[in-house]
Amino acid sequence: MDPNSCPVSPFRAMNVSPTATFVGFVTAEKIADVVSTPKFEVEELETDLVVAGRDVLAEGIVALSLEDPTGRPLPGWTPGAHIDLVPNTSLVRQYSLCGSPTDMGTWRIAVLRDQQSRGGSDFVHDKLQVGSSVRVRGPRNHFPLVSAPRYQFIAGGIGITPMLPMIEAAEAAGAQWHLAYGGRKRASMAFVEDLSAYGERVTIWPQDEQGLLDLQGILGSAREDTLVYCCGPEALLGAVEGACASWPTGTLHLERFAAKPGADEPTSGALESFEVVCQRSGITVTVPADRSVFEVLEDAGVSVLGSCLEGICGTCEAAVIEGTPDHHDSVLSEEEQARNDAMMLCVSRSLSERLVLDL
Amino acid sequence: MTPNYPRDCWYVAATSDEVGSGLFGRKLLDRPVVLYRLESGQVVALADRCAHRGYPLSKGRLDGDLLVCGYHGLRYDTAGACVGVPSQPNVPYGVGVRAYPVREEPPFVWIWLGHPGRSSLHSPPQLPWLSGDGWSSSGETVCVAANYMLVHEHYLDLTHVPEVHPEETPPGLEQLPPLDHVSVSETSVTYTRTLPPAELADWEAEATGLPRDREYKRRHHGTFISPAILAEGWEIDGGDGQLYEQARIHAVTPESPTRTHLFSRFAHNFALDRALVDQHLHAVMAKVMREDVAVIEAIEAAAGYEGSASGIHLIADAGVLQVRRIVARMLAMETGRTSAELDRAPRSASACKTARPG
Repeated sequence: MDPNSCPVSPFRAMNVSPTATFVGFVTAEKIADVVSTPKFEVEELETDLVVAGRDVLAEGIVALSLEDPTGRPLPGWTPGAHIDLVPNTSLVRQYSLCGSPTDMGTWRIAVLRDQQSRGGSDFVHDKLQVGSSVRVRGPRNHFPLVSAPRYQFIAGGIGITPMLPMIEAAEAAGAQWHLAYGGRKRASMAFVEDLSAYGERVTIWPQDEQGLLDLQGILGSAREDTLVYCCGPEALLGAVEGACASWPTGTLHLERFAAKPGADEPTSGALESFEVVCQRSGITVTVPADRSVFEVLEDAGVSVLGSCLEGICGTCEAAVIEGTPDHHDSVLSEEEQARNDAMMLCVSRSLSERLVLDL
Repeated sequence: MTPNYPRDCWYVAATSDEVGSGLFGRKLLDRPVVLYRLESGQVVALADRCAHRGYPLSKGRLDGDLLVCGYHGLRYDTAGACVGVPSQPNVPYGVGVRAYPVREEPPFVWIWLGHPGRSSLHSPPQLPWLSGDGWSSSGETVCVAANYMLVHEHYLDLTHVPEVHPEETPPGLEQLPPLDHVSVSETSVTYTRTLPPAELADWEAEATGLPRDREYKRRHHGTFISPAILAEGWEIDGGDGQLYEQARIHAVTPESPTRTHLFSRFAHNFALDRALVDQHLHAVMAKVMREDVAVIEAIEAAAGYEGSASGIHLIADAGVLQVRRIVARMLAMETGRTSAELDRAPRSASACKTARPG
């Protein structure tokens, strides 16, 4: 499978019957002819949704409400989850869900038009209108809101999106929370009006009025009872990482939308070519210098999940049974990477001649 | 074994008809619960243990909308607050029992036993197969002496059908082909399997009324919607332009780590005007369910869930492995330990075995 392609099961391509009742519970008008030897695959849920609403929230930011064309309920998700938009085979982009998980019929995303758009945000801004159909994949969540008595949310710009359902959940759970929300200028910041209802628990911090977020002032000294959630541009993430260095391990949760700087630099001791053993499938492959573990496994018929293929989304994570991976992802924390019990197949390689994976 | 079930989830507490005019007690997720109806018909769920001496409130009586303990007569309102003690004039301040959020969507009464505030962030899943619109359904409720994950894992891999239910296996389908597709989202797993053309099993012929002298295409599919609910479909292409669809909806509610309430509903979308078809399908599905329960209980008795889950995995387990990841992740988020370790560890496929403490 081309990892960027949109594999469609024979049933998905057909009209769903009016009795189909749950997205993912695919139902066909008629049962298709059995393919002689269908290649079995585990894939992420992929479905076509329609744009049911489109609003301009702030300068350069549009929000889309996505619904199933037949009105079926969508699978559940939790705060911090994101979906892929898959406009075509070469364009896959991740967007955090920013609506309410209680709304079982609608997924909401907000998209900033990126001046250096690689095509994703231009597509959303220029091509998606009310009534448009778009293919989506997921949801998945690598930014989950772990239960805690107190949260410090830090958002930069469009990084506000995953924070909205997190705030709803923190409120419902009766947790203490505070949001520091920075942006270039007030007019470019989405949801500012909605957030003002929370009073002092939200600090709006436009850069042209107040400068950069005062992270030391916001975070204060390390606290055992607090989890810090941050989403925003790389400069903010890096600064928050630095500011939280003295906090207990596991305090900081970050969501990246681009690969961590330096993640793709070669590691000393990394092997050009190595062997990967898939213990469950009984398949052994050799990964050459110019191909990823993911690509080689997929060609060998091992059922692997993949999405961004840049080490950001975490979809292709595999458990490592033996061997030392050479990590190049932006998902695992440094401590997690050091444990060497999991790796991202799309970008990470190997420091040992042989890697045994639970696949 | 320690509990391995997420609490922040809507589970089925009872079927609507189980909660009649009296008091109905049932243990759910290790907690005794009493269910009853107000005069308006609305269902209320309270902790089934009097705040005074721990007598089960389900052994008491109703006085209008007040629940009266059958021991010393303490009276509780619908929020669980104690509002009267016969032997003294004043009511002890702040005394009461916990009231659980409840939603009735026939045929099920759903309950929220997790963090009280979080109930508003979730809704019981919609199950249109059971709403009557274009479907006819009936059901069976049993208590299974096994961990709830053994029930899910049984229904997530139907390659057991030829061995466990040989009489119901269509001739020629003694070996089920592999799954076509397993599709996962953050919280759900769907699998589909297309079956090669085969003749009808007796039960299929009787239910559909289709001629037996030919072969039919079929498809089997299922969705793990939440730890509380699994939906399966069995479709026969009648070749006459009609798709004969059957759904089995399994509501799975842990009572304890080794006992599970199983509320199975059998729905079909054909022959809706023929009551005999309803009766026939119900009888077949109830027999199949008894056979399923016997297998699940034998696994629990022999290996327990942890023993079962440490077995080898086959290709057919793809759906099971994905569900274990989802459940392990839900457990990790609820425990709220802040270490990155916990955040990451449950994502390995068998992490469900490391149940949360307490």
